[in-house]
Amino acid sequence: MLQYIWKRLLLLIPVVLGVSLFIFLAVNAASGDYVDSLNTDDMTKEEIIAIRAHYGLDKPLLVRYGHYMLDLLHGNLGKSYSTGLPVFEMFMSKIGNTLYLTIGASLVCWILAIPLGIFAAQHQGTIFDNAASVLGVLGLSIPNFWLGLVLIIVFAQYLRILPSGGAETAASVILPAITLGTGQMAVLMRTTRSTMVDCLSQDYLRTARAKGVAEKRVINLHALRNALIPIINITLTQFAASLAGAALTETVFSWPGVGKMIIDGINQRDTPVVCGSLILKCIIISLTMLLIDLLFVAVDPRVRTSFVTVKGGKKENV
Amino acid sequence: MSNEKEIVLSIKDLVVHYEVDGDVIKAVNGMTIQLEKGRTLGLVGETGAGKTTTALAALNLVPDPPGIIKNGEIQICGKDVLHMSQKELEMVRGYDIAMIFQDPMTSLNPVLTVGFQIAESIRIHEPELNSKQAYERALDMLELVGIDRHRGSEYPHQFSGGMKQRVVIAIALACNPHVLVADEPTTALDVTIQAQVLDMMNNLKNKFGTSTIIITHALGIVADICDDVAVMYAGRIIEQGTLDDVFNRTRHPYTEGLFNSLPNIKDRKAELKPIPGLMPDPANLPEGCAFADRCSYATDVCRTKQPEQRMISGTHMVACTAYDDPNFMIERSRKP
Repeated sequence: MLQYIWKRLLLLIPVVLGVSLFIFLAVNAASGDYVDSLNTDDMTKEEIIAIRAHYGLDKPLLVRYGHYMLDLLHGNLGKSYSTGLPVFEMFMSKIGNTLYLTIGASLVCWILAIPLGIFAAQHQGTIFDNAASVLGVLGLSIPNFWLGLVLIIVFAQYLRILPSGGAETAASVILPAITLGTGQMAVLMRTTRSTMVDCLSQDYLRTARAKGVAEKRVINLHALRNALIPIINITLTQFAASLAGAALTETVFSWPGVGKMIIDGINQRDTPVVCGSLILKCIIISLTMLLIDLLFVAVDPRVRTSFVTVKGGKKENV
Repeated sequence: MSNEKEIVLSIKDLVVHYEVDGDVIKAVNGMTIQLEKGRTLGLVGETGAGKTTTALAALNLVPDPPGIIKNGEIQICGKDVLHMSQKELEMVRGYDIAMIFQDPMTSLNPVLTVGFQIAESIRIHEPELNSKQAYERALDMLELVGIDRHRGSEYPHQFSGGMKQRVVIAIALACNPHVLVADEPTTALDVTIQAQVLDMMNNLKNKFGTSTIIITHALGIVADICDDVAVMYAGRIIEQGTLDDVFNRTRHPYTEGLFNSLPNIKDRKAELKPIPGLMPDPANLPEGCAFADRCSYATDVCRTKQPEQRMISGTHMVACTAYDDPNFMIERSRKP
């Protein structure tokens, strides 16, 4: 088991290498560099050249990548061109906000989607099921930024009960969390519904009922325990994805998170910020995926036995 | 059948339909059957005859939708199963009547340990036991069906098919039910394992004195362990009696056809005589006898008139119009 975790952690190295190369090339493929994003109207040509030289922007792409990778090997993600602060520090100061928003969004998503999905599965083919499907498709098709703007107009502008942006008060998280959670809700609800539909037709539920198990327990223990496996997969994958992809929502609500920082970084051609943040996110996502796999081992005994056979304390890997 | 004996399960005029996309599938059409205490009844018939539906109805477990119990009365130890609250039903299931299912591969919950699955039944029906005592009882049950008790903490996928069926049997017998319904308990198993499992079931049944209904299409199993036999066709009982009645004094042409479909080891050159044709579509049953189209003795009356059940001895019932003629005999009973 431990061996497996080590293997997975070692696999992170090629992943980070690949991702960094791709991001570095992608950022440089965009037209212009950091200096172009500055207001250079009252600078002399010499000053501009000096700035370029200062950041090493006058060197060829491969040389810059080489320098970047050398720094990375030393655990140094470089400094932001625009703020001069170390990227790692910037990232760490923002990731808390992003985490806060993501957890809020996931809670919104889980609380709504899982019971709705179970309910729809139990009433398969009825009007409730269809209503839940419509709700799901609606949630999936409404663009995040549009829903965010509508929520701002309704709750911040007309009702004036919630702040429209920023992260100053505790209530600030509500609107962005709803915005981010709604999009994820649809997918999770559909997954919960379809796996539950599948589980509800299984023979072992009939066995449970024939034993005299109450219907509530048949659903919540016997069926849900089996449906949990795909549900956990989706929830955590989504959690990881929204850690990475909350950029739009963060921008709409000027939420001071990592997503917004990356968007700002792209606008200013601030290569170290963009590259560094994306690499860190990539590591976070990989670790989350590892966590998903470990959770599977906990939830699904069939996966568990493929790692460890308990008989006589003998361990074998399959 | 005689009235002085104790009846543990009584099904009267049971009608079960499945309604799928506007079609009405008539699975069980007026089925009456009684099970005496301590006896084993074999319910025989081909696939689609309504055997499993009857069994599920006995536990009021017919999946609804699409299944609807249209008519009938089912009593288990004097309790009316079809007119009970959900709570009462839960107390009857697993305690008064238990069921063994056909496919052990899918009958056990893959994410719960077998010990837990056996103990669950005990905890429901014997709430005076704490969970540890119930689990110990579950392990006793495992030993009883021939599985080492330390395997109680293992999951179904760690067991072979035959072992899984033993676990299913342990679940069914955990609370020592009055009535056990075994729905083709060995069909999904290898032949060698079949004999083992049947043997074990038979021993346990005798040990606990459980009254049993065995659903099967294997006449060999019936001859082996049943006291009484009921032959089912298109949702009705067409012949019923003691093992001796049905096997040695066969009356119904369909039962005769079943016996003719068996290979004869004494005459290995003899061709098998399968019953021609298929059972009628249960969504579209004929007006008269459902077997008429496949029956070599059928007359025009058979095709228009539903056969009546007639008692030809104290224990033997047959539903065949041909016996309106007092001289009628099927071929099997003409032989010496």
